[in-house]
Amino acid sequence: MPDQARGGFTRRRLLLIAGGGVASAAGLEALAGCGETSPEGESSLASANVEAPQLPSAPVFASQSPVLCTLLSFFDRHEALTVEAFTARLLPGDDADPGARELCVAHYIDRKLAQHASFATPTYAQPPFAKPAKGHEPGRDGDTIYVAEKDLPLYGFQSSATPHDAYRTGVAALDKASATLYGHDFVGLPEKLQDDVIAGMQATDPSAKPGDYPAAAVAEGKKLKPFFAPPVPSAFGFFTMLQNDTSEGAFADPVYGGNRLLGGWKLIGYPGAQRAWTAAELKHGPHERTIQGLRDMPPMHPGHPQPHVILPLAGSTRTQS
Amino acid sequence: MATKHARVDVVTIGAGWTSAILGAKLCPKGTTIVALEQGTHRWTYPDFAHDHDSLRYSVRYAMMVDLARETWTWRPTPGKPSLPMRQYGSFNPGEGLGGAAIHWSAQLWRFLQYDFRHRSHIVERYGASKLPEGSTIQDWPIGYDDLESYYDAFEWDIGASGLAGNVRGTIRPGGNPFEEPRNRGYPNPPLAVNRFADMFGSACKELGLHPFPQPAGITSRAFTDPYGNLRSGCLYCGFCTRFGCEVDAKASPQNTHLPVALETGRYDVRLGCKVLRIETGADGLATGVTYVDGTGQEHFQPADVVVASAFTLENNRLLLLSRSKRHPKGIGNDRGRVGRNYTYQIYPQTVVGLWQGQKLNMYMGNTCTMNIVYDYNADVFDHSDLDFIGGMQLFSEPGEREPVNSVTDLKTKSGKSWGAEWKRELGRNWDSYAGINTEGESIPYEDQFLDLDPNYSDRFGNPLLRLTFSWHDNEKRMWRYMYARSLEIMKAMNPTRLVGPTPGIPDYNIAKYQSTHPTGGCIMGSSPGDSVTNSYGQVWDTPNVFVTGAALFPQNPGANPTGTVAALAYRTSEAIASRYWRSPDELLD
Repeated sequence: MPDQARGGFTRRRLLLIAGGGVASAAGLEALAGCGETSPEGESSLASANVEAPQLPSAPVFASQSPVLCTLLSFFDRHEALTVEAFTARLLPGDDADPGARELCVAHYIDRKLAQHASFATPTYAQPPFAKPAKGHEPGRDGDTIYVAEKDLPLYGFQSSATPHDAYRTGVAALDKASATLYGHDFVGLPEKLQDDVIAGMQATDPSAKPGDYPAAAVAEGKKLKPFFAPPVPSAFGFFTMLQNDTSEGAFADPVYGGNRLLGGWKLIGYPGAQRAWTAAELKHGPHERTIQGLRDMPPMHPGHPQPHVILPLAGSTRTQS
Repeated sequence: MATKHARVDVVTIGAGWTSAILGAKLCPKGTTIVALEQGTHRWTYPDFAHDHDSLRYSVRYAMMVDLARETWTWRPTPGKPSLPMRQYGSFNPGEGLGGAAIHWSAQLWRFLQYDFRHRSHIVERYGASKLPEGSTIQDWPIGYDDLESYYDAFEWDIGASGLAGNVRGTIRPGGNPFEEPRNRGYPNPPLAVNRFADMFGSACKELGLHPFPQPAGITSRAFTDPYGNLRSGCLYCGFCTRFGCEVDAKASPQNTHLPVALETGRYDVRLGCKVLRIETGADGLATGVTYVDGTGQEHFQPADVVVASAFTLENNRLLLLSRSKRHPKGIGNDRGRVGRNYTYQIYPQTVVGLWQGQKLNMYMGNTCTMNIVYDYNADVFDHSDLDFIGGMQLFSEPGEREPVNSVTDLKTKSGKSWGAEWKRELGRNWDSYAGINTEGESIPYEDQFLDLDPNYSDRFGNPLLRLTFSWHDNEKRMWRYMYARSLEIMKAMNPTRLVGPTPGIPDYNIAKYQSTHPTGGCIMGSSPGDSVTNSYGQVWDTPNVFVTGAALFPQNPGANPTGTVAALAYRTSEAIASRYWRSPDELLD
């Protein structure tokens, strides 16, 4: 694909430029990492932003952390590493078989948070907000609406925390829980323990029925729950947020900063945004297609023929089976 | 101080499809219309030219009402607290020129005679004791025959695609044998279907059922409509529901009625204008509407006729907010009927199968590239020995699967949707599973209604609309029955394993998308005691106010509403043009 060829060229150029500037391991990583096709002018800025050699005591190496090598816009270094570690357990991977880390999911989330002062999706954020009716009559009392705890999940998202607040306080709560229970902040835990913590957070799902989650996860969830008390998002709410953002970062179009080199789509066999499919392809699968993102698909323009578009205005019946 | 505008014949609240239909039918005859639209404008070119962007349209709801400004509240039963739908879940009402008819799925139906004579039919066939307790099912004031010519006109105006099942009483092979007789077939052949639809169709035939392709408001080949609009055939691109169509294959007001209305110079759309209420004079008739424009300036638009042509939920809210001396509880609500008979649609998948190692190409197509059976819809099957009334369509999952919002649907055998094992599953099977979908009847109940919320309001301080709704026993039993039928079909399709949901329908929740088919609340009926409007959508207690759209449905059949919404708007347009102006402000017979 021409765009990717150009991208490769740009990255080589960047390598040369950066070589004369910040020559840290992290700086080099920027070139191979996220940010797809960074405009050349941003290179020195991007390098300057990397908080170069202060590696955390935990065994995390720059080569494992593409997010550190991008221009962080919202997260601080530790938050970025934490979010990256978390999402990399949700969608694990390595260079040969990319996961959230290699797909730059944390970079996607950082950009999303920076671009949206509030919610990225339409959200009604007016009070009063709801609380579980523990010991209260369900209904309004002052600035709170009390709802039976078992009913609350039926109402969907009801948090008063913006994504900014949720990530800031959520990462802090995650660290506090990890440190209290296991003696390290989240990034410092071995992957097996990170998985246990994540499974525990998920198992606090308020709409779960007995048997939905393994007993060990439910027990872990009970230990974690107190660390995620308001105004911190609930453990399940924070898990869900990270899971949704991982899906977006790994599988949305690369123009949004994740799904690096279309790796998410390649994983699942999705050929990307295509202008058209034929009736035969609906039955027998794609015929001579190249995987592509939005940037490779020119806008539909009346009068401009495109491959795979069967005479849109000319009345061909070839699209019929 | 409100800016007062010059009087016009008609003001429509919203510039969606029913408003465009009124414009196309009335403006060429000299009627002047102002359409007040809260959203912005968008056109096929350039606005839909580059829109294959799942994140923007499916995840971030680019075409839907901005919930930051206003939303709807919900509670399961009257005794429980209501909370706002803070982020999109159950339904996705649109805004902007063309309304939801830009991003609809284009599944196009005519209702059955049973749907119109719902109560009478049940009582005649099974006795009144068959009616579920607390239900308020009632007959429509019109039947299928009253609408056939309007259904026909709409289908031929928008270039509908499909295979007729019953033409003037003759059953056609391959079509829906249970549909009511139609005067003629569709202007275009049916859309192509996908591989999974073939698998579903074969299994259904094996079981003695009658599969047929979805009738669609999407052109299957290039089409020039009676107004001269030229439209492409469908490209099966995989971005249809929640997207605008970049080649005009999917019918919308923009490529059908709107150009006709605009060409007259008498259809004036004002964008970014939010209607606050319908005003009434000393005689109790409407005088016009008060609205706020994009800069915050208040306006009064006087009109002889006011048409509430917004989405179902907003039409209900507007009538309730339009309180005056003559209508202290709101327009149409003198007898407390507004908001009653609120209904919805049972929509979830019953069972999902996985065919290990096979690719189903589910990311292609549109929401109509599928096969359906009507054998278990309405009262097509005998309910004598069953513990419920009503039915559902069962159909094969149609396609246009998008990675960004589907990856966590696929779980490992142990139910996990993250981690290394899940990732392997995703890599192997993201395109190897598909389900049987349903679309079922929703009947009205005493404890299922719309009113104004006591705690939440919009940016103008006006209360939000409150929905009180949950599934009742009849619907839960119907679901169980349909689950069993779906399982029979699924087994005949020989999946490697089932990955699907559970036999019981979960309690209604507003968090999960189901369908944008909230219906009723301003229902039509035969007298002011049982309804808000007559069969033309004309409000009994304020006869120069009309309501269009699915708010008029006394209950919601197991079929998508748009075909009937449009047919009713055609009928109302004709009545206004031919009879209303002769004796304005009088109720039409």
